[in-house]
Amino acid sequence: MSVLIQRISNTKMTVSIVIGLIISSFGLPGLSSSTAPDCLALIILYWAMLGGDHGPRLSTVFVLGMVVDFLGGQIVGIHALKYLCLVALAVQFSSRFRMSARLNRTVFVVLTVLALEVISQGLVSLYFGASMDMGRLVAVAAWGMTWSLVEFILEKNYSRVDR
Amino acid sequence: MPLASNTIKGNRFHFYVKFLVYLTIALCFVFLDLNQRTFTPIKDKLSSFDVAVNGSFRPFKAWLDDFSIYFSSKVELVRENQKLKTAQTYSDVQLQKLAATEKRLEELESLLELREQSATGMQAVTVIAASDSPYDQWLRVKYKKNASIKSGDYVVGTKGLIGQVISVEEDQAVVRVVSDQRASVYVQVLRTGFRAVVFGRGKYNSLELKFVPEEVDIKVDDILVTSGLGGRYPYGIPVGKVSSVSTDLTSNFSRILVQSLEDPNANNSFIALTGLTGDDLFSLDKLD
Repeated sequence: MSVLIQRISNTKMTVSIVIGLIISSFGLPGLSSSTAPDCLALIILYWAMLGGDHGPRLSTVFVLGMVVDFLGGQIVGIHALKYLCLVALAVQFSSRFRMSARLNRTVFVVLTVLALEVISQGLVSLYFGASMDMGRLVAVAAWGMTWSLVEFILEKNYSRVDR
Repeated sequence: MPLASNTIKGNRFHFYVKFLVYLTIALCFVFLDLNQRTFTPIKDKLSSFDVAVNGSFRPFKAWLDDFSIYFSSKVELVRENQKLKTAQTYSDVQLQKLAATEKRLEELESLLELREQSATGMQAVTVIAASDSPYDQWLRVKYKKNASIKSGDYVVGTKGLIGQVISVEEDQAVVRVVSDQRASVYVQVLRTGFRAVVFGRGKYNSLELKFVPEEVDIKVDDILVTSGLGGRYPYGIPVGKVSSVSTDLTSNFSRILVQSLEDPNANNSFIALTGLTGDDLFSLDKLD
């Protein structure tokens, strides 16, 4: 049984969220917008799961989603919606999530981000009457599988002095 | 005083109320953006910021793109290299086959020339099997049915003697190679005319001239030919070339090693001498 580290560093959380915001807004070189990762979603999920009361607030998450939508030129509110749902799920399942094995956590994350992508795409598809982008769904699932890597990067203690 | 569970429940309730409020706002924004295009001017303004940011990151992005192109082109190069290697291997095999065919053709032409010099008493044979033991050197050859090949006939190649037929079947015969331990041939030193017997050593292309007194004039590079003693076998078939002459302190005979002139493994086609042939069958000029 695995338990995530409970200590929260505000600096680390802020830095990771800023990096995630940049990647989610401006994309990564060599990747089209449909296959680019939504790193911010994974980072928010991580801190919401781990942080409890010290995790990102709903207002912060809402603003972050709006920023991503505005900077990315996407439908305004869609990312905010997604991130809010992520935080709500994290608050609901955080205790069970923290106590589960790494593989279970990864499966949970993959299913969650996939479900949210389906819902958000479904909303847009319903409005426009278009079909869903299956490539995007596969990409989202693939990026969800990198959850262990996200955990590894965010868990690591980067400070020179162990406090 | 409120209970802890009530506090947690109250917090949860408060959280979900906030969540629903924000969710509603987000949904409203989505609706406004999709229906009214309310945020399009703001997005247009921000797109210029996006362009500026992207512009400032362009060198880094270009570097990353180059980096990915470098690896993808490297993978392509490795694949192409693999394909070329396969093609080259195939070409090498074809080239070696061609060289082998050319060599075989030359050998057959030489044998044909040999046969034309003496049309009688010769029979072409083809090797179908060979001994894989280093101590027992023989060849199984095949020839035309009813050919007059018999035990004791010499089998020759273009350069000289190969061996002697030791058993005959309907269209096959077993030839004992001169380098076999049990083989022996009456030979004559071409330079001096000294006659002796050469024995096989059981080693590849290696013979030994035995029982030659130390006083006999034999030098390295002397050519040994069949002596033709007995009248049955022809004189003058090259057998080997003296490769070393040394003195054995324990006996009165010299230790003379001879290298066979013909390599039985080099070709598949030879000629069996079934009768007496002319002395000038082999041109000794060709030996070197």
